[in-house]
Amino acid sequence: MRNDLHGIIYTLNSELALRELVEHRNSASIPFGGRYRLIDFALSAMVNAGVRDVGVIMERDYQSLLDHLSNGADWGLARRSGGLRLLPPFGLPEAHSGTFNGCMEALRSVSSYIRDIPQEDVVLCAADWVGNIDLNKAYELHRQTGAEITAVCSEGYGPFAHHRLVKDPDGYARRLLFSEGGPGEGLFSREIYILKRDLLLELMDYCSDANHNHFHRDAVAHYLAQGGKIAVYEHNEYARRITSVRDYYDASMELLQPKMMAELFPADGLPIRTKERAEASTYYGEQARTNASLVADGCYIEGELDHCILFRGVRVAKGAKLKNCILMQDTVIQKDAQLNCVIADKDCVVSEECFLSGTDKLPIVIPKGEHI
Amino acid sequence: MKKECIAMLLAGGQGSRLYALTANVAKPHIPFGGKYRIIDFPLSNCANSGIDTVGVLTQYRPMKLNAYLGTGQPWDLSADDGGVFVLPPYMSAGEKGNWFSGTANAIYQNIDFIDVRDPEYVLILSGDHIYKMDYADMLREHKEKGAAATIAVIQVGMEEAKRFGIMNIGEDGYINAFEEKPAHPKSDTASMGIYIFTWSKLRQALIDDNADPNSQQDFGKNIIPKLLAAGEKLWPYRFQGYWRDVGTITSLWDANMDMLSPDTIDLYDPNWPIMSRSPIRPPHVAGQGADIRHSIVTEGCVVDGTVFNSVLSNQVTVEKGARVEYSVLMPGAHVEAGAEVRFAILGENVRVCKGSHVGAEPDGTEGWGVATCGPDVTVGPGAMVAPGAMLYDDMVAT
Repeated sequence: MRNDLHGIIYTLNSELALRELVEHRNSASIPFGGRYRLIDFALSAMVNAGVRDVGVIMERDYQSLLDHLSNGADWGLARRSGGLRLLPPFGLPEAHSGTFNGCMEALRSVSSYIRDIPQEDVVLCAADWVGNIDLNKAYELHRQTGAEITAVCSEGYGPFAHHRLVKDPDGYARRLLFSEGGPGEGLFSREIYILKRDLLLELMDYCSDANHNHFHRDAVAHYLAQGGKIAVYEHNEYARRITSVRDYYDASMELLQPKMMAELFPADGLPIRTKERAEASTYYGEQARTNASLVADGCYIEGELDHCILFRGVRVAKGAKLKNCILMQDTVIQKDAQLNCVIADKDCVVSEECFLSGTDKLPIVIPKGEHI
Repeated sequence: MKKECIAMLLAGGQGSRLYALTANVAKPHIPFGGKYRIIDFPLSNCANSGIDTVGVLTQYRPMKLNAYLGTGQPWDLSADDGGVFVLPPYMSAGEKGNWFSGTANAIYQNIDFIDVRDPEYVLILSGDHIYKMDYADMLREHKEKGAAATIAVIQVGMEEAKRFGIMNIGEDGYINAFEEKPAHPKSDTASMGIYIFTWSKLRQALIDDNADPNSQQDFGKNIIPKLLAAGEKLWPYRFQGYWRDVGTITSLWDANMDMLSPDTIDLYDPNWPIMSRSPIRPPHVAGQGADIRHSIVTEGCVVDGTVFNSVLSNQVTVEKGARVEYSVLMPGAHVEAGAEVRFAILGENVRVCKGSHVGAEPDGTEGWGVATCGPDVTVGPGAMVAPGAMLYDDMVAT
């Protein structure tokens, strides 16, 4: 269904704690869940809510993201009018490093694009999270309440949960708290907002004049200080922010629990779209063994898997034993190799009889294309 | 827009020997080898061979096939000056319109479609074969040999030969005789039903054939013999490699089982990908305690039970305690706990309920065969579907 909502995804500087995973890419294009990239979750949520135009603000290291998104056809966004709009850093002063100091600076760099948005409302989020969030329902709430800003929030505490909104009895939030760790009051913000385009432009102007760069600390805080109120849409199913290797590993392994899997990929629910690849189905050999694993198409498995996630085109040779591992696209595990708690990025080769073991707190990460 | 060679894909046959599986869909739309539908093989071969214009002739139950083909984008066949074109029978001014009465008639009725593209050569394909072939190589031979028609051939063995159109090849290497399904075959060089014609020759032959009231308007029975009789040069293109006609339950099951032997056909070759339109589903889940061996599993499947020597299309569920052996499970099939499926084909969205049995191992008896459940059939709790059975409707335990 067509609606009056425009999507903006900002893919800002990758956290250092993502280490090897962002050596060759922006965090938005980190592979996740066997066949996706992180940005697929934000993009799919928007497309599933009927958004027809999406702008993606890009920072440095966006080649892999460009390759993934292409013209947006796999998300139904290759359109003659509107559709996917890629917004790489452009027209910045020479001294600028191409790294934005916050969401507001990133938005400011594409202000002419935002001014031209024909829709009345904008859904704004980062691309560093996984989840299957029904933005249709959030948008419905936004229109019903007539709020200028609607925030997607969840219950819970943790380092990811430091922007907190406290609801008043009438259901609106008028207080924004900053708390590292818990326990804090209220719900934490998923940093997914639906807001009026005109309000966004006003907040951009304010931040520009005051030389402010941050969405929460500066823009939202200013809006609330002026007597604003925020409608709150709660999402309490599986959703995770990925800002470190540890986050990445934990969020991945959680998917091996059927409940989490069903929340992220409900059988008859909203689909998560991604770039298609021509692949055969996955083949399991005579001696293959598998337990509690998530396996994409195009894999060729002759060894043993226990609690593993395999992306498209992975090969596991006879005698190889893999436990608690994540193997990204086209990685090859040769005969009799044994891996435990290993994340192997794309196109890695782990040689015969290689033995590698990390721990669940500190998984080993093999960078993209390495031969071990 | 002049084209050197375009393809015409015959996809209108009912596939009546697949019974319940083709009750509501055309044979080329039948799921195959996990990820695919049969028509993916010729379409991917076209794309990989550099043929960018494919006319698909449809007639029998085409709705799902049409939706599947769409713009041809999944096969990289949606270029501006090419594409996949669905060609159903149609009416012309002052006529009643006619169904395609034979394979040659289907092409005859679409002469205009071909003329617009003005090709030198036309490739005729079937929508019910599993194989990988470089049509560009076949076209190269066709041009080299100055043939009016080049027919892809394969050795099938003398005992199989009577099921095929059989070629006799002269000392000069050209075809000198052709017999359709001969009772006493003189060779085992069989036509694969894949032809390249020089369009000017075929065009005239189709017009002449259409004027012949006794013709069945079939390539094998009429066009090829007529070209031979007229003294035209017919060249056999000898194909080496895997090729199967999947027109019967047994051959469909056999060919699916062949996909489990990597030495028959390599589906993992990045240089010759077989492409398909896939539903948007997550990776498959091999659950706690699942046992999957010598099998093919596709995205969207959830396997908690035992799967041996089987081919699972997308969104198949095998519950804990269920057992699937030597079987082909089409998209959405669901096998509940305690049910057993052996030597069977389950159509799309078939549900095999708790404690029921479908099919059995070969026991050497005359009546044994692969058990087949048609699409959307439910096999009730505790029911038994006998080997060789063909189930069109739901079944309850007796």
